[in-house]
Amino acid sequence: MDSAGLLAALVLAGLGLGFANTFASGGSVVSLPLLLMLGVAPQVANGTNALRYWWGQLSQR
Amino acid sequence: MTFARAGRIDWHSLRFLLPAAILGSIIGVTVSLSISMQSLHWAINATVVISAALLVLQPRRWLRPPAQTNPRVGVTLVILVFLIGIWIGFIVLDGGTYLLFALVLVGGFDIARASAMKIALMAAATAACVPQLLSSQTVNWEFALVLTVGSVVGSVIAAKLVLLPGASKWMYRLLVALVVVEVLHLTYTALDG
Repeated sequence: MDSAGLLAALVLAGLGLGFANTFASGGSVVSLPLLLMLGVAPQVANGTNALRYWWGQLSQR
Repeated sequence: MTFARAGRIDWHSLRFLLPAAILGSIIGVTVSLSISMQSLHWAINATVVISAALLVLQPRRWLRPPAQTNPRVGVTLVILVFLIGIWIGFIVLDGGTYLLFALVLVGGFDIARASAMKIALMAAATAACVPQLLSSQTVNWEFALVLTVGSVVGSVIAAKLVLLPGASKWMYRLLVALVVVEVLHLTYTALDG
């Protein structure tokens, strides 16, 4: 996948994540498998998702 | 976190629960970084399937706090939070839901207070993982940043759309369809590879 396609996929994933946050507790159910689908190694997908989740927790109102 | 929510946090109870969650998450992240890539991939696949089921079943609607709340932090709750901490460090996924159930059903906290405490516990437990994740270079900063920004935008759009008549039902169906596609793809690649 080229970088533009990758960026589009990530933006869409982020939007899906926001939608998931509206209905579920996290949103990792969208982002974690999508990172794997994009070919990210499991450890990196897991670490990236954990960091993303932590940022989300810090910004929770 | 706002002061309103912060005011709901029972810091007295958290003095035992926070160390348990942090210790558990450090163990969990250590395990996730130690096991083979294939094992972690399978663990993530299984977890996503369970999470998809939880998304459909929405177990929170079954969550009924005790009629008379009498919050107590006993050994059982501390052990449970420690075990959930391991899970949070390992994969994160649905850790908040498990914490909420433990705090309400075992700890006897009301849902509002349990939700606020859950956020504090999740923030502390995931923060405890960050040094190890960074030192092991298992974070893709660009991806994390794009996902975070997209998630904020998605939340704002979803919050507006959900007010439209019937929209929330379709958004929910769309989300379930997206997760089902992801689960099918993960299963296919796992069986293929």
